[in-house]
Amino acid sequence: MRPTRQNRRKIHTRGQPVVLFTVGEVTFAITASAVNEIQTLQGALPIRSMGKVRHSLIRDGRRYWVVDANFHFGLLPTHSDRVLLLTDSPVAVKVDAIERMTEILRVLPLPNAFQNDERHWYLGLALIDGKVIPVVNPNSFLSHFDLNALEATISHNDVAEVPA
Amino acid sequence: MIAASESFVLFPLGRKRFAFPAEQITELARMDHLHEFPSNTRLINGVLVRRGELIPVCDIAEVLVGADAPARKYYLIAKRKYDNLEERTAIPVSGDCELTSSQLLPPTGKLADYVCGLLSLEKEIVEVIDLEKLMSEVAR
Repeated sequence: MRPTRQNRRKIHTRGQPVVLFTVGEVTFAITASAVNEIQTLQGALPIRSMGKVRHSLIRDGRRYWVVDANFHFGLLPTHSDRVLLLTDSPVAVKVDAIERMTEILRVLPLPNAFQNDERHWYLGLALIDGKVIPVVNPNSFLSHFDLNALEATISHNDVAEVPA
Repeated sequence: MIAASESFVLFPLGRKRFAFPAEQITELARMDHLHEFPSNTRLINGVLVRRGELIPVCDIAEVLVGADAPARKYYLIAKRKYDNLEERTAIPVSGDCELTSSQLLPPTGKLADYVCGLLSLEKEIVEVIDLEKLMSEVAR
């Protein structure tokens, strides 16, 4: 069917749904399909661990390792108590706030001038309302090696879990 | 034998001027909104959006004149090569730029490796910068 003046408005380019969240003053996007749930940090268990994972969460019988997004992206600490539980890995990302959901039409590749960790952190950049928003790579928060190391600390009882 | 002169774009960073080979420069642009996001690549501060193109901003002032570099007023948009890909990069500069033709003299004395030559102008000697070399030295 050819678009006519009457039906043209009904034709939408289908975008990719993303969740916009903030950490400090930075807004990030993550594909909505990569997020299983958004919750508060309530009930998180502090773990004896150095680095970006300092809590774990049990949801529906499954353990999630809580990654501090400030630490991960090298941002100054802020008050954060929201967590994004990811779909395909036992990772929860602690963020300051959920801004909203929106759709992006395309993800632009990160320019080649960016040569460091950010190549792994981001799937690319999106233009949303005139702002450039990094689209995070959900697989970048913890590697398989990190996950195995965290699991090992649990299985060797080398972890102090105290209700928060 | 007299070497043929080449074209260079002179740009100021504070009181000092530097130069890039002119064929590397595509545009001089006014300061625009810098979109910043976390990254770990040294000297790359964010991106500009120009006519739908994302242009990374590479502030080399810190390397060339130190931390006291004055406020930047314009962007020189330069071409950079990544394997077979070409990408534009915005270099903030602190004042008006000038196109000049001059003979490229070999670097002398204790100059940084990224200085690929010198221009002997009327009242000054200007260092010609090899941007790729500068970036690879900084990345080390």
